[in-house]
Amino acid sequence: MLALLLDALATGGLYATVALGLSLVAGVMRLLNLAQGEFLVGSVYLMLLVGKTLHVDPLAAVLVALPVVGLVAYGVQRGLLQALMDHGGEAPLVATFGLSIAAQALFQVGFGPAAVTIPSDYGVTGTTVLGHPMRVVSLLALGLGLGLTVLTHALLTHTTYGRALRAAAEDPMAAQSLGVDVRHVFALCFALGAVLTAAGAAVVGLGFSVEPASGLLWLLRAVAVVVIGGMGSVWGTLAAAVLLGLVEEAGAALAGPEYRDVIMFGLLVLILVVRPTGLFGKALR
Amino acid sequence: MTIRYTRQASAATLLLATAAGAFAQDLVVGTSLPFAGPFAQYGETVRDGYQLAVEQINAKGGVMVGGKTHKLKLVILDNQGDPNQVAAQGRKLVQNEKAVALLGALTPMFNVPISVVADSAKVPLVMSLVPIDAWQNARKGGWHYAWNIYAHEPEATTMSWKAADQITTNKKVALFLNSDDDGEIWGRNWAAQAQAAGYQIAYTAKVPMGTTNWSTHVNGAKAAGAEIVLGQLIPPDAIALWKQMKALGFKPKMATCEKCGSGAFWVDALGPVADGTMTADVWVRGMGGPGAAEVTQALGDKWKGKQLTGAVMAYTAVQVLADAMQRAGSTAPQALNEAIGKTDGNFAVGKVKFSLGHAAPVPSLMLQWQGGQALRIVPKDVAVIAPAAGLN
Repeated sequence: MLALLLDALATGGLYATVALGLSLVAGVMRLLNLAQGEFLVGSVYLMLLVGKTLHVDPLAAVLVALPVVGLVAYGVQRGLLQALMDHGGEAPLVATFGLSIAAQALFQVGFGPAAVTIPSDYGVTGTTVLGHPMRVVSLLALGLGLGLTVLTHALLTHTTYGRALRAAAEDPMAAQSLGVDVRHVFALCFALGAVLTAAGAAVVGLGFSVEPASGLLWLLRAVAVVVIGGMGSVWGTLAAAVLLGLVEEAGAALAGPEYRDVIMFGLLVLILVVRPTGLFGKALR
Repeated sequence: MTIRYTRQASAATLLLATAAGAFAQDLVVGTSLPFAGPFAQYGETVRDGYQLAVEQINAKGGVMVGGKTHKLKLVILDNQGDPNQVAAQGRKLVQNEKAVALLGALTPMFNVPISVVADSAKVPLVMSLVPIDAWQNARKGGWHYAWNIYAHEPEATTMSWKAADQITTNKKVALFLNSDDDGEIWGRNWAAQAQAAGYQIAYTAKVPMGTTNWSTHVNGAKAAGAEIVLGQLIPPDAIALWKQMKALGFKPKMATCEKCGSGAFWVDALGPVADGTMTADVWVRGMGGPGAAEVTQALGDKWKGKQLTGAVMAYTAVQVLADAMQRAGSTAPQALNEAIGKTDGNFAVGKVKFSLGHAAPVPSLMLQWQGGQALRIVPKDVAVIAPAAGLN
């Protein structure tokens, strides 16, 4: 039972880390970023590139990669998505889909089709927690999931930028009339979402692998977390990620691992039917 | 004027007729390959094998069919790793590109839908890289225009026991399988053979593709006391599994990974953790018949392990098809199909004879990654290194 709980927490931490950026963008900009998975995969490739070029520790490569990913995302939002957002919600959604496909093709050309990982001892080192063997990278995921949730919540509730962000999310026109540069705030939000995703990418790259098309796998899981938790709900994302981790692990133990996706996405549909706004409401909290 | 025109017309007719004889119409051969997704690296090796074979055949003048020499024209469509696109692309190759024959891709996921197209359109198809039972079981009553040259699972799975017999273990085995056709059939064969081979299946994990968290299964296999790991997994799942076995302190004495541990990408992704992994195969450098050396020379630096085998098998498929075209003296579907079925000769992979329905079984062997090289341990070229170095 304890082993199941610890595994579920580790899985939940990983899902929270991967989904937090998607949730933030969805809650503030009312945009489901379908290129979220490619931001994750691209971040892993970038970290690999930085590590190989600068010959630095993988964690140092992560620190170098994060601001680069943020800058790219800022540019994508200001240069492409913002203009499309003025024409309704569908155009930017379709644009992120196009970005996703284009990014996959770019990854294929730039990095080849094979699955890659960030080479590091962190990914193959274990430890013991309450007598249960666990991977260091799982603990890293759990810590990151919790830490990034707390930091994001603090940013949203205790900083000027956070207040501007929440104001822009509630009513962009009113926020604009009060002097908030909504375009800049949205672009920063998109960049922050990408940086959070890149932090999740570090865990994925260290502990698992990516190939050009594997963004979809992580996007689907992130969408499940965001929908169940409630779009834009920071704590809801964490809670939903842990819940999904629990359901996935318990479901696999009870019904068999082949039912993993049935259970995960069955829960998603059930929540949508019972509570369409997700378990933790619809407003940015 | 009339006479002059007639002479000119006659000369032109003669010239055209001569040209037609010298440069007969190209014969289109088509295929749909995955250049994205988990099998993309194999899509590239298969493409390289096909292209090399076609280039070499054309460089020698082409294929002699019914007294005329034809160049082969290879049309490759990218299915983006989506099996749902294969059937539509297969039909496009037949209907739009006028392909006289098709070539396969790999795994049941891609080769079954292209086989369905071949049978329904009555266009011969030659393929490899799909284990025979997994492919044949997909069609009750058997295939009619599709032909497969590859390993037969009941024989391929015995390689695991032959390798295990060379190592001192407690004979307890953990199976790690994807819940696809390959995982189903390899798992069934391993389970059926284990007792007679003197082994016990102590733990079985059958998981969907895309599994990332293996900790429950790794700890389960560890608790069951398994010292032998037999895997049939796609590369991303297997990379995650190997990392988790290492991190969670599961130290099997022997670890095999079919489909996953088969190319240089395995070593590139896992580094030293990959060392000692075994994988069954049907060919290794130095083996084979006509053309094998050319494939090794042209592609041996680019591809290693089973990926180079993939190129050899693709090259073989083109050789078999070209040979059948020449023997048939025609590209009429039925004549070509019958000629393929009568194939009995030496090609790049070795002897090819369709002795198992529409399948030509190729004898299996076992490789082990040792110091970044996939070396043959069954039959023995080098000694097995145990315990599996990367996981210990």
